[in-house]
Amino acid sequence: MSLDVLAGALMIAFAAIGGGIGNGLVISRFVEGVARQPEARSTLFVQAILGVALVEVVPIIAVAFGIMKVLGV
Amino acid sequence: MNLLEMEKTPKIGFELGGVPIDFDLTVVITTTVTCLLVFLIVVLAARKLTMVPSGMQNLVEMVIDFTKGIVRSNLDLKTSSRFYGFAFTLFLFLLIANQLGLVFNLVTEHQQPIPFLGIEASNHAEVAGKEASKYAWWKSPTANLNVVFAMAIAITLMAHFIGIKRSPKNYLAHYFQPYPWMVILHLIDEVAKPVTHGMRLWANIFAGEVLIVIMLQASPLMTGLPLILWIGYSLFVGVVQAYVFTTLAFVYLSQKITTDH
Amino acid sequence: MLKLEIGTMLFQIIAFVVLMLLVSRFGLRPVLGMMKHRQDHIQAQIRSVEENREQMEKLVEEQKTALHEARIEAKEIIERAKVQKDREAEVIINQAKDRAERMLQEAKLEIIREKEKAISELRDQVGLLSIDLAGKVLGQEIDSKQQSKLVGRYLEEVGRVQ
Repeated sequence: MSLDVLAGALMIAFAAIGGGIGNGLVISRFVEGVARQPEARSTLFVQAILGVALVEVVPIIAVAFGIMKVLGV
Repeated sequence: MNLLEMEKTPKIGFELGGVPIDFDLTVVITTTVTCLLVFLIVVLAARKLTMVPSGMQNLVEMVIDFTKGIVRSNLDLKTSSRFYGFAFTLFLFLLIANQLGLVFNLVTEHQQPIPFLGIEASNHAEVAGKEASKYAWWKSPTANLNVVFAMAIAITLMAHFIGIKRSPKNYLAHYFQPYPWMVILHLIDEVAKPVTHGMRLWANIFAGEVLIVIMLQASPLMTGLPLILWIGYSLFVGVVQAYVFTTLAFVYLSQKITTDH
Repeated sequence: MLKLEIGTMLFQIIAFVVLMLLVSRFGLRPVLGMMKHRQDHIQAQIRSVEENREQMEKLVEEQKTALHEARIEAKEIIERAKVQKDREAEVIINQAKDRAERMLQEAKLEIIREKEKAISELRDQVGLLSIDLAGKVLGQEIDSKQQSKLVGRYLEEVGRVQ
């Protein structure tokens, strides 16, 4: 196994950790908000999805580059 | 695994005054197909307009209402009416482009090189253990970094251009707010915006497609329910990313247009 | 793979701009027009419904007042009829009373007149009889004029005495 694969795997792993924490924060706040104001559910849902997508960007970019590193492109 | 070959695409290239101009044939094909699909959907919806919408008209009107909402929430009413067409086309294009690569794959194997298309043949004799060269002819156009960067840079340039046309003084002034030294941060921000804007979309779609390929090739255990789940999630991600890309395009646009920064 | 391909970028942008123009021209404009048309139509519909409702309410109100007025009028008419009836009845009764009174009066007068006629006739008769009697008694004829004067005087005396 070359070091490239290890590098790619590490990128994906840390991206997963960071993304997991970020998404957890967003979704927990979303659930809190829905628990406090159930009638604002649809608005909050769109905002939460938007937030998840924004948080997700850095890890997913890292994953993409990690995959490329693993594949050796 | 020969995933490397799965990601190769045929290319056409020529030089114009020393600048190499390459066309990714896969992108050319899939972008054209996406454009045709979008146009077909819209024309089918607009062909028989009725007061009580049904079928395709209903769907297109829903999308129009949705994109109108995106534009309205970022721009004032007078400005926003000029961007309805842009928002609608952008959203529908991305929506279809993101799903295109999930439907099927078209991969060709080549024993003979075709230099015109940039296809190299793998040489069995020279590289032991390597299979025939494979080229993907069918992928989401948005899984190509050039495509998303082209869109993101074009949108950023448009935003800057409109901002300058609106009020050059305000446009320049907002770089030095709230403190003059913040101009550095602003410049970094202006570069980072299109880069992350494009990469966000590309990385999501690219990762989705690569994972599908990996799952298909990895082992028979992965091709059942996990693959279906992942394709479903990719569909969802494609829709969300189309929405996010469109929304962010208008967020960036509104940052340049609104005078009260 | 991460090579910058100017051709792909240009193709993508040109394709997208062309698509945007085509979609805006052939798709979005008619659909937006139809949506606007529908919105206007629905608004007009709502307005007309509102107007109809108002009109109906007004009509109902009018009918209610009309009914109320009619009822009041009917009551008035009945009242008036009652009053008139009472008055007419009174008039009739009064007339009847008057006539009865008059008839009574006339009858009384008639009686008196008859009585007086009878009395005067009786008086004449008595005069003649007494003259006859006196003539027979006295055996002498007094001329009839003198006689009747005489009888009258006697009778008056008799009346006064009475």
